[in-house]
Amino acid sequence: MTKRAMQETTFLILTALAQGPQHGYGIIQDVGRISGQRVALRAGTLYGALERLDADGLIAMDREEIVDGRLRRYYRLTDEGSARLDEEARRLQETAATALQRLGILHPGQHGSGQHGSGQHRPGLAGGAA
Amino acid sequence: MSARLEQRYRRLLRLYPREFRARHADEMIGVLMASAADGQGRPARGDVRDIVRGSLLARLHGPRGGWLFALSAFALAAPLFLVFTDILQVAFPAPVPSQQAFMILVAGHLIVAAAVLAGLRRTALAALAIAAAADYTQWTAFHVLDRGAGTIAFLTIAVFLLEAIALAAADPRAARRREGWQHVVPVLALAVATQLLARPSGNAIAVTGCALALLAVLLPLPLGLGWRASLLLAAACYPLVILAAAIAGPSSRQLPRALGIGPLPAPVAHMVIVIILYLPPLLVLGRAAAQVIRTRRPRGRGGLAA
Repeated sequence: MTKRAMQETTFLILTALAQGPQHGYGIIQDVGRISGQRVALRAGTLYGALERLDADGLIAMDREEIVDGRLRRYYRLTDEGSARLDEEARRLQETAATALQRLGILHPGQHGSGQHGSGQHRPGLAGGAA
Repeated sequence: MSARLEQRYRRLLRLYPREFRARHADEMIGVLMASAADGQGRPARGDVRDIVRGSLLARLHGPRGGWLFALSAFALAAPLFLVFTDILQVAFPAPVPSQQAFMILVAGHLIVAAAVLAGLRRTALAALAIAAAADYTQWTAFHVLDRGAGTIAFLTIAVFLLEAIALAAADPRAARRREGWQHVVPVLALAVATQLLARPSGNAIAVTGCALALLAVLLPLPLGLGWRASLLLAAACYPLVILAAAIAGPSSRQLPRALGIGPLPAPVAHMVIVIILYLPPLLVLGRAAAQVIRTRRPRGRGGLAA
């Protein structure tokens, strides 16, 4: 049975929680940081995702705090959540590696200079893998 | 200033289902207010869009099931209801124009119900298509015998279409959950009542009852009402079924004649059926709207914030 690929938002939220329990606003800021400010989560998207992840058992409520009269609920990754994130990260890594490998072969054509340019890129890839 | 912004955000969050709000509204307000700019008076447009989208999704997938769950329950209830109707038709002999088509129809519905329970979406859709074809054959044959059959065929097709949509949109397995059965049982009870008590009035009631019963399954779920609401709605539907049968059923021709107005022309009979069919859902929607308006009006805490 093949599992469906994880949505990017989900992946980023789980990655944010992989460092330790965080509250909603903390997750939003962390996701921004992880994605190089490319993904700006908003409350509706975040809590829709948290609700779903909680129902699926990938995250759980850690603790609650009241800061400046406002409720802060901390969420943490469950064991199942860690396993899913690990699995997904490896899958993405494999796919990305394949993509880079193929680009390494095709890339030289873009420069228009040589047909033998592929050898130039290989060391770089090998270095990355080491 | 910020109290006003918070109030506006809280109003927006009312778009979410009640259970979702009870769990997350305070947290969400915290996040929304933390990301608000200084002196910001009204919700950011991006947040509004995000909340509208999020609340729609929450209603679709809601914890109690939401619309998708309602559709799943419907997908299970509709074929069971139709099987029931078919079996009663044999138990209380009525003209069955085409024996073969009738047997295929019953078998088709049973396969749909079984496939829904097994979570086999494609099998269910195929069996539904076969049942629909058999049904069509049966009613076109019946049309020669009874002119009212056109209306019944029309309503039956609507039920078949809804069932197809439910099968395509929902995860049929969801209907197996306990809550699913809790909503299916009142519907089947309505089916029994309709068939046993109103049998002499003819087949129009069967289909009208079917449509009403399915609404009884559909409506309470997305509105977050429990199975008791389903039961009440089913009970409330029953007199309407009788009324619809009295107006549009085959035996009804005597009623207008007795009043000296002659038989109702077909378009009028159609209209009456449609109005009666839409009355219960409209009442429930009206009730829901009233509830929304009531919660919007500031009460206690809300009054202080303003």
